[in-house]
Amino acid sequence: MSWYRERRRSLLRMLLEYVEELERAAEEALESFFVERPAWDVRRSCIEPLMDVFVGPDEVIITMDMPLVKPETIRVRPVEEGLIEVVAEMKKAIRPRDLGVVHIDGEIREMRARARVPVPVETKSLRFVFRKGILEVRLPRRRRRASEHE
Amino acid sequence: MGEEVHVVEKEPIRPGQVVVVGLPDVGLVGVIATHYLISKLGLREVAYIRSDLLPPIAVLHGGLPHSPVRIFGDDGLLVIFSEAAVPADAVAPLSRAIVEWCRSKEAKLIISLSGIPVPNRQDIEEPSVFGAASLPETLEVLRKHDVGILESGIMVGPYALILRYCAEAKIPALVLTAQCFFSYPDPEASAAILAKLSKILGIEIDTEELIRKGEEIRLRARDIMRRTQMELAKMRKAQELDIPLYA
Repeated sequence: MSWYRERRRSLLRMLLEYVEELERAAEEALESFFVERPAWDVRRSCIEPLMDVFVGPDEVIITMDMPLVKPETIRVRPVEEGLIEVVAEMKKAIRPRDLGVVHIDGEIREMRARARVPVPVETKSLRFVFRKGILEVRLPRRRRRASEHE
Repeated sequence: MGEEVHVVEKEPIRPGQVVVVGLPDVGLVGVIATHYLISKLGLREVAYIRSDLLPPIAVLHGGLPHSPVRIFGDDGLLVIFSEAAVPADAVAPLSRAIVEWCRSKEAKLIISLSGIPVPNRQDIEEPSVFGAASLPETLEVLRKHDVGILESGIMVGPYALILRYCAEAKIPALVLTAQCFFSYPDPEASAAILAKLSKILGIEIDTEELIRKGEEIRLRARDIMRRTQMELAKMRKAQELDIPLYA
């Protein structure tokens, strides 16, 4: 019996190590996807803004640095549960060459981003302001009803 | 000088100059300010940093390769400028090498330009500039030019180490920090810091173009900002917002 318990323990340890390895690999893949993906895409004529997501006790605040966009064209909308899309037109089309990238042709005509919100929010109460070239989106956190706790 | 980081001089550099440092940090305040300074004063590359601790990259200018960390100069002023994020592991050796090199060049004063993040940056029209110094007598320079002194708190990153190493070596050094965004390039903060720097150095620096081209600079700086953010996270940069244990 002790041989059986020992073998079971060893299998369990192997399984846990395997899961840990998978988690590490997934984290690394995710990190490299987010970090190493270029910020701009001339096929879609867009560039992604820098962004921050802050989760507060009552609301989630998403900020995005959006220089050179036309403020009146900014659109903010939830596209699915926990995913907010922001799109805005640039004041003028920017060629990669203008940014010192001479080997790629094309134009950047809009700024586009999708922000993942990590907690449930009331998307119907979404509001945003644009000041100093920074977009600030505020989403109240969804309160759990008593019945949901039961 | 440490063996991991070398300063390679391209021409003879005379001793006794003021050294201004702009390394990537919050808001890229120092990088944007020093790049503007180099361009406005027409400084030329006089030295560069060679180190295997820096990312394996060559920065191309006019089709020719350069180190990401270079030293520009003219008569009386040297400017250290990096156009790539400095890996967290390289911060200490790089800071020590900079201080050692400045000591070998008998630097008159080292002024590091940086940012201090504030959560309500959007509500601030003109960012204030604060500072710290390596020696009690160097603090007088800040007082003389109405720079608020960071009396207590924690500094994180290359400027913190440069200041500490300068204090150990009794080299006069200042850190000037302007209120800025934590995660976004902040040319307005760079302009505020250049205004103070011009008074301290007694030279004229017109920042009108920096403000006018601010949005374009923010777009260009987005990628170095993103990479800098990752390195700052490794350095636990958010400690700068901690409440000091003793004031």
